[in-house]
Amino acid sequence: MTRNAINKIVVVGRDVDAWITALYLKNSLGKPDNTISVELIELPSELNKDDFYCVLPSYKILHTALGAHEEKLAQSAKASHFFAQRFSGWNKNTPDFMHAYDKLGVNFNSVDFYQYWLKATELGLTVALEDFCFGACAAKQPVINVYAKHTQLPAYGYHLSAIPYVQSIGRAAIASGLKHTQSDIKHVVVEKQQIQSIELANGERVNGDLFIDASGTKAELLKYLQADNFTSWAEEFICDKVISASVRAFSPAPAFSLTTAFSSGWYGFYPLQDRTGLNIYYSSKHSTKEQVIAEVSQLSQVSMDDLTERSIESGITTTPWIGNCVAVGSAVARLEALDALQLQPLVTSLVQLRELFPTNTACQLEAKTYNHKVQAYLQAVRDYQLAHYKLSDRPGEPFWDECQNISVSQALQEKIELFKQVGQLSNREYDTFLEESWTTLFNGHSLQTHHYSPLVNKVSDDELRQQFMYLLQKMGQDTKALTKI
Amino acid sequence: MTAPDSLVEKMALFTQRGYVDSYKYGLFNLPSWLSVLNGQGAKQQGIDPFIQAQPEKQLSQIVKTFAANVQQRVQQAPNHQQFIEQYCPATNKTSL
Repeated sequence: MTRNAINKIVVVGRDVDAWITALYLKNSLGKPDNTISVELIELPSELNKDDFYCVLPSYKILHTALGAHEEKLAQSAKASHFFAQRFSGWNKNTPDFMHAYDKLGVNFNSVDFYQYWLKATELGLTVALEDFCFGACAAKQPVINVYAKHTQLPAYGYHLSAIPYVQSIGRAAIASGLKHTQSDIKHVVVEKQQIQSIELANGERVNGDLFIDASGTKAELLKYLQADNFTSWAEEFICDKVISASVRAFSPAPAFSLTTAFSSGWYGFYPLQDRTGLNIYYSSKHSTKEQVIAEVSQLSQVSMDDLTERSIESGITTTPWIGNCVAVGSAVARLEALDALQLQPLVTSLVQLRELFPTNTACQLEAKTYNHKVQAYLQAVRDYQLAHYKLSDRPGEPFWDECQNISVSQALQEKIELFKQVGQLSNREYDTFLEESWTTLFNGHSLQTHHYSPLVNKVSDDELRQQFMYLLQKMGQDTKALTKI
Repeated sequence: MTAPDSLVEKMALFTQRGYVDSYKYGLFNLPSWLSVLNGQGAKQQGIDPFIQAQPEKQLSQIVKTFAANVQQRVQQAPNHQQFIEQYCPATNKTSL
């Protein structure tokens, strides 16, 4: 394989994947006194005015790396922050639960708090697990000003309007001196599994050493290097349609997104400053667009018009890095918006691209490592989403009966089984979600644990009661303090 | 001795550009791998482009400051005898 230096990087793509990647590479590698140039070929946007993105707490580091000022970005993109995702109606006779980004209680004597909670519940405690989570408690409070000076604040993310968000990044990218062309692609010249050049719709020819495919599900560059490069997860994620709309702003805006199950899928409300984003995921095998809209309108008591429907298929690109072409973002994996994970493929791929950024075009080892790691991380994230479906319980509804019977990975089966037996988590190398998130998910979906840890008995029943009372009291005080400013 | 493929690849990636995998649950972490790879003579040919892009003066300063901090902490650390006397002194001191 030829071994050329990488002097020119060409990013080809659209929307958030393309702009974030281009800005990141330009800022890090394409400074004026550097030999590396970064260019963006911007393909037509696929965003509409109703689209939005969820920025999870862990993604904010990316914004910091890009030099974004969070408060300003939140203003321009009409953002609304959240401390948790609320899940309703996924399990019969089960209360709503909050998934926050915070620890559960205190792990005294190095034993997980959940184990103590199990025993305490047996002894008569009727307080939900989430009431020991600062993030979940904050989510239920009236408006908290996250930009005020708090002594402590739970981790929070934000929902933002897609178009203004992408425009903000675009402005920063252009200001950094990024070369930018808006065009469709006519043809990509490939030789010996390497991209030689790209021919634009206007006839212009673009050369480069390294090409980044940030073009989303169409994978406009990668498809020239390998056909049949997609592993579908349609058998596990049976929703094949998503309806998007904007509805009236909730006032005050809740500090959580609302993820509610209905007969043939789920719908999510994502509060923003000037509207509420709505996504309805459903299976066309089990319902029709009209039936779905009628049902969701009725259940949510919200009127919705001006809807857009898209077909979707969850899955992953089998080989996202081939030769001198690296796919990032949704060109790597397509996930439902469940658990606010739309941007996870982008963040995961950029982290790995950063670590494995090639020094020259003979980068087969980097490609191999990238392909392996990106797949492993995204499969683990997929497992977290699938767990919601697998552990659902809405008897008599064909969609949900089908969900209960999906086959899941061995890793997920083992996680479920271990939690059922002893309430422990078996997190592995490529798991992104922490033990607390899995515990929250399993507990929220009523997955019962048979035996708590005997180490819990080192604490006497009385001491246990005292500890719990103290924790609840402290939680109350800490939560109240958040709303004072 | 034939090294397993996984090790051959690890060594090749290090030689190419100093890449060392960082494991969450690995027994040996990055510093350990780096010590062995670098310490036993594997020399990297390329430099991570993100580091290459940073001004040499800035990086040089960071490395110098870090080395100075390490030196300072070594100077301040108790020697072996002092440590034994603080942590686990013998109750009856008889000569051997």
